Amino acid sequence: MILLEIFTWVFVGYNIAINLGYITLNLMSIVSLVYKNQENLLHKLPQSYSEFEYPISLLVPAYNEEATIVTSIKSMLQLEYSSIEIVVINDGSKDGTLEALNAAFELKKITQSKSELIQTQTVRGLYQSSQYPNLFVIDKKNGGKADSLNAGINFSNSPLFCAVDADSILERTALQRLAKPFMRDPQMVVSGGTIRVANGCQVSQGNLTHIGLSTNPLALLQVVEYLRAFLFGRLGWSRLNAILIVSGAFGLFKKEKIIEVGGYKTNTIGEDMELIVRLHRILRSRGEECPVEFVADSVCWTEVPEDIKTLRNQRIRWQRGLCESLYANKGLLFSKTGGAAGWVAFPFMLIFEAFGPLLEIVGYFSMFMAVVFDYISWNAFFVISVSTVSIGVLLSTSALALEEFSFHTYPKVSQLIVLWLVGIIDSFGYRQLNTYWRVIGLYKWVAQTEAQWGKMTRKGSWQAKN
Amino acid sequence: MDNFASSNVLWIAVIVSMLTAALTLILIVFICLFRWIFNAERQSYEIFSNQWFPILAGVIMGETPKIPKELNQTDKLILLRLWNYWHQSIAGDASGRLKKFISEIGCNAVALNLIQKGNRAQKLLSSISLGNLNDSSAWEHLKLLVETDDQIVSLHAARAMLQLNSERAINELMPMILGRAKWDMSVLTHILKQSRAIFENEIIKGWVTFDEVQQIRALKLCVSLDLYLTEEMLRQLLQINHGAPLLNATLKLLERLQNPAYRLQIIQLFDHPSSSVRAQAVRAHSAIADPRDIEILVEMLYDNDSLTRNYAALTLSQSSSLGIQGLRSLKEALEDPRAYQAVAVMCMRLELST
Amino acid sequence: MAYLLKFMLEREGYEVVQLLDGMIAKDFFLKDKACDLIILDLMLPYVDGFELLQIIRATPKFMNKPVIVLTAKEQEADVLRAFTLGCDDYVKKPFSPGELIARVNRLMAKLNTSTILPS
Repeated sequence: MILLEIFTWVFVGYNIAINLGYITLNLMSIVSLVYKNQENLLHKLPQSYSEFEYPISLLVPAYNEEATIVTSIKSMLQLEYSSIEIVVINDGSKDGTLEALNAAFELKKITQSKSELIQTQTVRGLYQSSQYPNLFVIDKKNGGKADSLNAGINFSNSPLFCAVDADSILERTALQRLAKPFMRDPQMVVSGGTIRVANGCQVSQGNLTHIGLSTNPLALLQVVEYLRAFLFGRLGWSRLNAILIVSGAFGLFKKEKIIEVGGYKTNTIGEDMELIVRLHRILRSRGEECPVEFVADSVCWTEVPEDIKTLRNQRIRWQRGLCESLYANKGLLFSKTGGAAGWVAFPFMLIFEAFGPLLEIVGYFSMFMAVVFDYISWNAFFVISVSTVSIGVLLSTSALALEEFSFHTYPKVSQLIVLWLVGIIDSFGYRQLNTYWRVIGLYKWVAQTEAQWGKMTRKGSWQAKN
Repeated sequence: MDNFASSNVLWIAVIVSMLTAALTLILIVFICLFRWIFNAERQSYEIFSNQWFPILAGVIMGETPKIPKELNQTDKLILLRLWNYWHQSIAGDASGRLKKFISEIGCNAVALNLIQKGNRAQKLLSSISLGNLNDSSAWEHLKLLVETDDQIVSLHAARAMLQLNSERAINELMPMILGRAKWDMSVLTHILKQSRAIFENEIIKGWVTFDEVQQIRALKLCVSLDLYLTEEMLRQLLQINHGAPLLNATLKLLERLQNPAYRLQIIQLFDHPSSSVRAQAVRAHSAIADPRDIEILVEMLYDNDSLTRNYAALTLSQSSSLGIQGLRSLKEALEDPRAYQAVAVMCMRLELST
Repeated sequence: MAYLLKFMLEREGYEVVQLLDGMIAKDFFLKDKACDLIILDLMLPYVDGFELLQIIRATPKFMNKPVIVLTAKEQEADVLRAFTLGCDDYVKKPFSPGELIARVNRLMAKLNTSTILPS
């Protein structure tokens, strides 16, 4: 069967290409990290350049976060940064989020000149804490995370803003480090930090007191996954100035530019990614640069799903978000002014991340059929599988090596061993499961775009939290 | 797939497997290595600190130190690292005592050596150390480092030069301070803070030789350093035919200066084609507004740019001659809905605060 | 720097207890242990320095004890806040050890005792 043969060759080719891609990213990251490591001395000396940093608005959209919002905000108030205003956006919570904030921080009502730079749902009230004058709360009608962030942008008084989830834990030095690219490059538009898995760590009063590994296998698999994604994914792309994804959970943006391109889009799922791709597209089309940098040592810890169902939904959503973002900004692909973003990153994302899972599934299937129909011997099949798995292991090991070289986050050797073993198991089911979920996501996206998309009103769906 | 193709694929797969297995093994070795080095370094640093903390603390308190043993190169390096941290944490006489002690032990020589022959991290350490040590013999070496492309190393070398001889450093480094856009603004401001006056002088002296980009950067630095240059320069900068970036930088400076002498010139800029300049001009005018300006501010309420309108409304709301009654009647007289909106918000604000 | 503080103060003849992070400090103050003077760093890990200051001023046993804030935060807003919350002195880092000791001595002389506590 010629078809089968073609499929199999395509599958092999795809595999080689994607792995070569990852390996290249990997090598570039190594260079970056080694370079960065040499500057460690500067971090160890007392930091005293604080007064002249650009003020930052920390935007914290919150929906039904009554239980944890106060401790989260308290820990954010201790971030080491010279000039920070914290803006909590209560997105029409049905629970006592606003009341909890009021009780803890003594809010009083204020007014502010309404410069509605971006359209949002109605803002019902603005509050400032009498205890902490740099803490503000926006109370508004429910509109979703993107809408909340836009409201926060409208309100913010600072040239930079950082979007964080309400349950994220930022390291104390995170903002300071995240702001550095802006100090060094007046044209910087976005800088993104690393996200690490908080499951298994001891958290007390919103602060990370002890770093550890969860015993939940899904959480462990995600630890390795995130290490791979950030340490060589983002870092590698950063060197090319082609980062397309800055996780919404943690990024610092130049407000003026974001307003120029229209703020966050509210009728999309992956609003964080969509914004970045749009930034690249619009700024570059104007002939402007779009510098986006990734700061590996600025860390935000977050809880990841520990059960299959939530994880599945999350991954499906991410895939849909990816496809939506790419499609909405398809003008960037191979555009004249696209630069590395339009000519390398976009196609890469399109082929390997958006459609890749489909190719993979078809590949697995056709390989299997090829064996069944005796076109390949079982031996060959076995060897091919082994080689695929071993590349996966290599990449995971490499991520661990980069982690160990730069951060030494996990103090116990046993933790490293566990992570390495998990890195192996990753190729034996987790990766395939992910691929399957992503194909579902891809399908859902296709089905959605055929349906009447404009009519889909997002009711502040906070599955974003799951 | 026939056997031929199959065996090809097979061979590729075998080679790939072996290659990756080998690389994985190498990486594992590296991981163990990194971990081992990290632990070893941490241990030796701990032992070192336990030995040296009391000695350094004693020096600070004015005691004569007992040096435990002859120090080799590596020890001196670690000591330098420790010392730099302590030096930047304390001030006053104690700091001088520490400095003297370190020089006596011979750490200077190590730093001088490293600044020429060390790797990147060591060059950074030695620049910082030599600056903190005020060792003027390092001047030429630092100069070499300042001229490299490496942003971090060059900036910290500049910092050290400023610590050694601020006047000479500012003189020689001015083109770089204004030219190197990638030098971290907050660090620059911090290191120039001590020699603000000298910096201001140099800017004034060299102003005519700067191109526009350099002038803009100079203005930005003046804002963060709280410097206001001369009246002549500012008046010259406020010409309406100048480009938006230059005018914006000047207006930001004037916003902080709040000197009524520039009022009329700033008002002239209300007509500038660029919306950012108009907005910035209205904002800078706000603190020095005059009752005579009410009419022109009302005109600005009709501006196309929302920021400009808002700033104009803000200034009007702060006018004592208008007061809240005046503002209300003004609002009612406005025909444009956007202007109305801008003033309405200000009215509400005033009402709430009384 | 905690080491240096302990060293200097012990040389001066004081008994020193170190509380190296916010949680431990909070524990100490809430459990009503004893001390005569507190040197407080606002940037202690895990707990906001200002919050600690409030706790100190709210606890009967420490309400009247002198507090010297020693910190890298040098903005006016922080200084004012600290004084509003009830600190007796505000020393910015980098600090002069000699000066700090002089301040400690002065405040302790008023109390006439010799047990102090740095955080």
